[in-house]
Amino acid sequence: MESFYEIETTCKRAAKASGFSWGIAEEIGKIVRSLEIMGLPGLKTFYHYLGDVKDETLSKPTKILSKNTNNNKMYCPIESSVAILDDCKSLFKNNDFIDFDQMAHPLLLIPMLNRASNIIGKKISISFDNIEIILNYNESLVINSKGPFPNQTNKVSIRSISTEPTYSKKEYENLYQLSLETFVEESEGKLSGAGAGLTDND
Amino acid sequence: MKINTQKEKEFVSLRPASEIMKLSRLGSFHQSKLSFLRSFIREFKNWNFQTEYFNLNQEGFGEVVYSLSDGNKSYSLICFANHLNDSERSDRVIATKWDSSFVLFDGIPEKEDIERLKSNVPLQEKGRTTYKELALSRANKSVRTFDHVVQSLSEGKQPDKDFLSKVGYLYRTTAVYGSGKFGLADRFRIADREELQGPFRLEMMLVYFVRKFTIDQVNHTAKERNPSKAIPLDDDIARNLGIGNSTGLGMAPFIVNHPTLLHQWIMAREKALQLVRSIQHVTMDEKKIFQKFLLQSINNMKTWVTDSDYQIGKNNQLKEDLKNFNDYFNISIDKEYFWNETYLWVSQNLHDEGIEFIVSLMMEPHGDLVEPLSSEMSIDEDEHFTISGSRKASEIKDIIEKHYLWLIQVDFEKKENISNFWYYSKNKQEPRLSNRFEEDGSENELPLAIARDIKKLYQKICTVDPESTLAEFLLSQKNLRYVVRRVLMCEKFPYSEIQDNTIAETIIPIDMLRLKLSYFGAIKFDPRSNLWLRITMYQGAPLPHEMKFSDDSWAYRSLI
Repeated sequence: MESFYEIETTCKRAAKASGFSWGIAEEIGKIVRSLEIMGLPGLKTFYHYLGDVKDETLSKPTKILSKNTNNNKMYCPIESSVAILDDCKSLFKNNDFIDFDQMAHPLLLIPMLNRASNIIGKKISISFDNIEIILNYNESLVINSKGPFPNQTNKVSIRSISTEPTYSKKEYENLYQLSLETFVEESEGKLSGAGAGLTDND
Repeated sequence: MKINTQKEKEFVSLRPASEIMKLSRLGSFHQSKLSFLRSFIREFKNWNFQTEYFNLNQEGFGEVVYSLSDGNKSYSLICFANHLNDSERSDRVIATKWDSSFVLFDGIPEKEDIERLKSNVPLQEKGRTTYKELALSRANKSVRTFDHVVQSLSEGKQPDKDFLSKVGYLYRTTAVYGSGKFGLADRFRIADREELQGPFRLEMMLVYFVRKFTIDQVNHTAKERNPSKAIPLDDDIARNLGIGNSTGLGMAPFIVNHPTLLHQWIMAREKALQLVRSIQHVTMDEKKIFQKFLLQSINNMKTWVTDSDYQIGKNNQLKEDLKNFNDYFNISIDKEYFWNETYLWVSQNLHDEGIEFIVSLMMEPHGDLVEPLSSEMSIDEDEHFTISGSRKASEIKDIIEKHYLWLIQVDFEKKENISNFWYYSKNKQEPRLSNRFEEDGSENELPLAIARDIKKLYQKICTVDPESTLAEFLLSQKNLRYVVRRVLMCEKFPYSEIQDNTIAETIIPIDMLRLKLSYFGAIKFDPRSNLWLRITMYQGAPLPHEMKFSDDSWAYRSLI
């Protein structure tokens, strides 16, 4: 089995050989490595994606909008997600969502958008076909599918998610009260064990 | 010596990148307390060394396993020694057979691990390893020294010390691989281990084990040749044998491809110098340590042998510099900031080789200040990979004008400034450098023409709206993405860029190799051309049974 280093390096060079600039090829190496580390089929998806690149069937966005439509070609997931990552602060400041009609190999969007999630400090959701993915600040992801993942989809929705607690205030408060039971009541005698003086004016 | 305050710590500034990052200067660096060979021994000196398995035949061929253990964790080296015809022995990285091959194993190997590796490790690049293996290497005998030592020992006498001191090793390695190559464990699997925090620690461990193997192999072979008369190699002689290494262009792209790591290495050295120069009161004992190592180094230079006119010139310059320095240096002068005074004289009166030699030497009496910096020499490169697309074009222009001023003056339309290109050889998958006007293949040029491409970025960014963002700029300038990333890194990491044109007609690639090798702790630089050189590692280092007594002064032990 190949190491992740080998996977990254091989895909980076394959990307360069397929016409990408070195800068984008570097990103591609990291995209595939990241998917493989997460247990997703990054290398296989990239392999099939390169077939589409060769056939010149993919469209590179010239500007990312809230709704991106191209009637003739599928959007390229690499070029699209690189453009979103580069401009993520501004894009997600002005909009909560970015939609693409017609996206090839949408799985390849995940790593760059995960990095964007970390930069903007919000979770990001991606949905296409019946697959839902939540990206958590480039730390982890939640996905409702083991695959197979589509080679293309008619619509991808990308949303930044305002983080709402998954618990009630009361649940947290009860746990906090319980946590206080690990503390020890202070007394005059114990105060001398404090690092600072008894007043802040001494 | 005592440093009390922050103010004293910053008595002098760090040396600017514009002074240090020139290739001629970087190619004059010498081993120091920060070198990886030395920090490896400091880190592992209290671990227990053991020979786990020793199965060599009469001719010294077979398998050996060594281990280092602290009671909880173990690392092992598995050695495979084979017969090799003289005609098959080549130091080039492109060779396919070697006298011995080695793999560093995470833990103690089971029998089935050894069997699995036996059919892969001798094949090196063509074999496969797994995440259980950490580093991979191979080495060839220096036949004349190996045979001389075996023959002498088998006749009951020690080998000729003068002869050995000039060569300095029994084996030469031709490559040491780690970090995920050929299926080896990825770096992230071991990155959180405290004992592996210094750079290239596993590779240094492997080479240290290999040195032990070479000594065991000559002893074993001599004994097998003449059981009644053979004697073991004297420890004093064995200690002065290291491991040779032949290094080609494969190393050069590394320091360009890892800019933030390069910064960490240089920064550690510069911080060390800053701390030492900021010492207000230097004791007589500290001055004496410096002087002792200076004199020892001058003596050991007699063992530096090379046929390279380039290196002979550098060595002679260094010898002359050190002679002048010796005339100037007086330990009885009692002045505040003694090292700073010394450094200022050195920087004004010596050449690159001499300056950097003295810088390394000034660290020696101050291990308490310098050694902790070893743990700052690694970095998580991925943390600095993402481009901040919201930065303005005007900011990028400003960064280039601040950190890359030197290259704005270079005319990349002139042939002499773009005459070379770096590429990977298809046959051997090794980096190469060729003339772009004489050889095919420049369309597959590696992204190592940093100066040329940052000049392109500068010219382009000067033409766009200064208020536009990098994200907008990169939508149409994808070819410049890789240098945009570097420019942003250089803003935070000023020692990340070599400040020379790496594709110029005048480039001396071995300066790039020398930089990296000095951080390894190599000595005896012996260039065989502009493109590759031989060096020695661990010469003078404690033997495994002596490690726990090491005071880190072994790099200055007399080799004669």
